[in-house]
Amino acid sequence: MAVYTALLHDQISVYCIICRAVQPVDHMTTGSLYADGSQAFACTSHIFDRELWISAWAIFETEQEIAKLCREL
Amino acid sequence: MYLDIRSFDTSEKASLDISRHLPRRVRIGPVAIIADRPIIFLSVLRKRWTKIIAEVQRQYASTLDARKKASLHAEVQLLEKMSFSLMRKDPHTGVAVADLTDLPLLQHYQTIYMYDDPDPETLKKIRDDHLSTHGLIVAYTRNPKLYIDNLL
Repeated sequence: MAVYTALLHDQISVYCIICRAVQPVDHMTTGSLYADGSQAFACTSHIFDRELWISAWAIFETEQEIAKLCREL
Repeated sequence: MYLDIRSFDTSEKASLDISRHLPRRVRIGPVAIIADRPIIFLSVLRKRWTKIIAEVQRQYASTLDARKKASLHAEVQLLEKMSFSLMRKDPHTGVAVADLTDLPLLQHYQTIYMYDDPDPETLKKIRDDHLSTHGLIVAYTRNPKLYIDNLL
């Protein structure tokens, strides 16, 4: 399944929250948000690894919730 | 605004894809799904949602890592409380499924999934009138040019 992401503001490469690689946006899939409200991405290939996809995003989102609380304090 | 264009071979693969993507978006804000057969789509989505919850519970039960366990617990809670409905029945539900005849939508959405290609003017109206600032449109389409030419 070919997937690509097009962005308004010309971001050519973005960071994968799962494998930490910086990849072109046409290899990436949108996910949830960072604590500061910016968009987070993961490599599209990870979506086919069900276990990794679920656990990595769950951990990421918990970390961002904590970061958000810390920012508010 | 973000645009995520996703191509697919079959509607089954598309519904599998959305069932993995949607949990990432429901925690951010309300979600709308525009599909040509909303009743069928909603039924498939509910079944896939049940399977996702079972998978997260399975992972929760099998991990010893405390950090991962806490995250998966929060994930299950989020997934279990999520509500789905047809937009015409409950427009303020967490995930509302509509077809193009249900437009205009009744509120702003953080994420709008497009399973049915609208005409260019309707597409622009969806973006301008119904998408939150910094929102995301996810298009499952065989016509990516429609979205790129009219939204970006």
